[in-house]
Amino acid sequence: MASLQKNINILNMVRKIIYRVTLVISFLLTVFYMQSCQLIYPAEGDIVINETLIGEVKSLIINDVFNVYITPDSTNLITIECGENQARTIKILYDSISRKLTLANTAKIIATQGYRPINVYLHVNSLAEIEITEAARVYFTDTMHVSNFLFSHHGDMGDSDLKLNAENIEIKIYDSGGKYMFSGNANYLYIFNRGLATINATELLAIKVKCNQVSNGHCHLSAQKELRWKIYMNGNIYQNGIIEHIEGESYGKGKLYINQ
Amino acid sequence: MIINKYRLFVFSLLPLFLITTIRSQPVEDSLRPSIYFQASTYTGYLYAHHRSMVYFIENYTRGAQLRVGWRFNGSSDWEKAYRYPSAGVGYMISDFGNPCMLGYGHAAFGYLDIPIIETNRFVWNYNLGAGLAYVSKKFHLTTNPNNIAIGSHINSFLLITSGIEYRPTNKTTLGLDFGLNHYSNGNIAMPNWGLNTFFVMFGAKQKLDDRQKLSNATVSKATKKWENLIHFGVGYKEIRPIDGTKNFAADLHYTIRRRFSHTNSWGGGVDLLYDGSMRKSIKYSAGEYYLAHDSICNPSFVRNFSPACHANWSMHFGKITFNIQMGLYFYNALDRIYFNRWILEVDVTQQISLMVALKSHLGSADHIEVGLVWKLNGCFNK
Repeated sequence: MASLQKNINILNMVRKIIYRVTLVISFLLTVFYMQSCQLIYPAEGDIVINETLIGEVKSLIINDVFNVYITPDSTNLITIECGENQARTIKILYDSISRKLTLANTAKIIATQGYRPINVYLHVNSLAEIEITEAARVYFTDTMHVSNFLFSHHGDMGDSDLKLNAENIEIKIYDSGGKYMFSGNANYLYIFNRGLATINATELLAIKVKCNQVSNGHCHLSAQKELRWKIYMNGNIYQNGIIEHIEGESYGKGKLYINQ
Repeated sequence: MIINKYRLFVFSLLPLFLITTIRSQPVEDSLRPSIYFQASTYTGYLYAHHRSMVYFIENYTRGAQLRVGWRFNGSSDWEKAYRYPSAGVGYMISDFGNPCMLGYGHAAFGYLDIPIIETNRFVWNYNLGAGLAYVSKKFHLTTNPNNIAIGSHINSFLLITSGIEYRPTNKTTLGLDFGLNHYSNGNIAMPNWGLNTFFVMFGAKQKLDDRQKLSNATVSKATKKWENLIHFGVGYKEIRPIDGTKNFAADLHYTIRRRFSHTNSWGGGVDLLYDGSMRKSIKYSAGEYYLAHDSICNPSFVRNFSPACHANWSMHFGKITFNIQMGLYFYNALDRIYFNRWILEVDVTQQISLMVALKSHLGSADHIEVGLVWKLNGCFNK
């Protein structure tokens, strides 16, 4: 009787150990499963590359979050590199009359598609306007030659590196953050910078520059002959080089600095 | 941060730590609250409440939490009315999906875990937590200009979850929760979009002992009584356009509320709100996105004040009361119509409570304030 009880006790102990080990293993498996998010969410899927021939593009509107690489040449080709699940909701709208190209994304919950950056490679020759309405990275792989160019940002943040040769260049940043770099040559450069953005146009040599600085970020310029400036907030203007004509005043805490 | 470096190691150890049986001394007093340890890990996604947040989200989020808590045994009526809730303190580490830009969140919080339906083996519960958080990466004009979600290292932390618990043994509980955590600084420093993470959390709970007996006495009938309170809070805030200036804000309001049960009160009151940022907002509006010069627009000091009224709903948890208020402005210099206020009161004496409040305009936080609540004698009570 005693040995039977002893056997039962041993059996119970073994059962308890098995139970506890199973519990530990299932717990650890669940933890590892949960930490590998790809098993839970469909995410972006395999990478796909879609190429589309378009006509001449004068104006590019970027309505969602994209990384856009622009190469100045006459092929007029747009290539989108993204996940297969992301590709389903990306919209390319091209208006051949106004020569306007719009990039958009109709995805409601980005989390279901994964967060892989969507890369857009655009080959155009005469782009005169870029407008960003959300957030985007825009890079020129080479210098774009146009007579007039407008870069306007109504979104929340971004980064850019634009290389331009133009008669007139307008840079308008409305309540955005980020770092925006410009290089090249221009006769006239107008900058309106409001929000938190920092503009580095030291490499953009402009004969005449007008700068309305309403940002907390700084603005770096290289006016060659004339600089008209106004500062309304905390951001400074840094002029690269001494020039004959400088006119303006500060209504905020920011100052004009001239680097010799 | 050393905790960031070794976080995976810590995450891996937590479950093992919990599953290990914790031996404890026999407890004589069966009414003593039963202490438990809890560890959980979660995965989820950062909710892009501004579309452009997708710009800096690179991956799904992960995190883990540790908790120490106890279950109330029903010695008070409110404990029985809430079906014997648990309370305690916790620590949560959160990865926001882009460690380079957003860093990690380290939150210390207090929480309340309230059962909705409970059987011998299963519990469906909900969980409310609030505390302070340290976020390791914040906005910086030159080094981190795209992090416009977090403007300061110190932030408030809110947590809400609901889930199912399964008790395989008397001491061990496994839990699966769905929830949301929120990090923001209440506009103390801008930019401050805040970070909201929706997640699925899996964890385990280990009680030190299972001798606690819950009181089975019925809930006594609640005394329906009026309460008269004066709240006074102060805080500061930044507004757009961001220039680093701090604006003082204050709030004085009177609330009368009637307690209908051990857990709830309804009421209303009147407010006098002061917002020192009004002047800047008016000048910004007048200047069409420039701050207009004083010669063009010079609002008087009086325009910083807004009289208002509010409706109030209070949830009572013993010495802690949580109020949700919806207010209407009688006058507001920016022509705003309504506001919301979320108030946490902690009783210090029978007459005085400390409060922390968040004023918002629906989902848009306005400012955080701290202050005192003075409970007047119930002049309406018979």
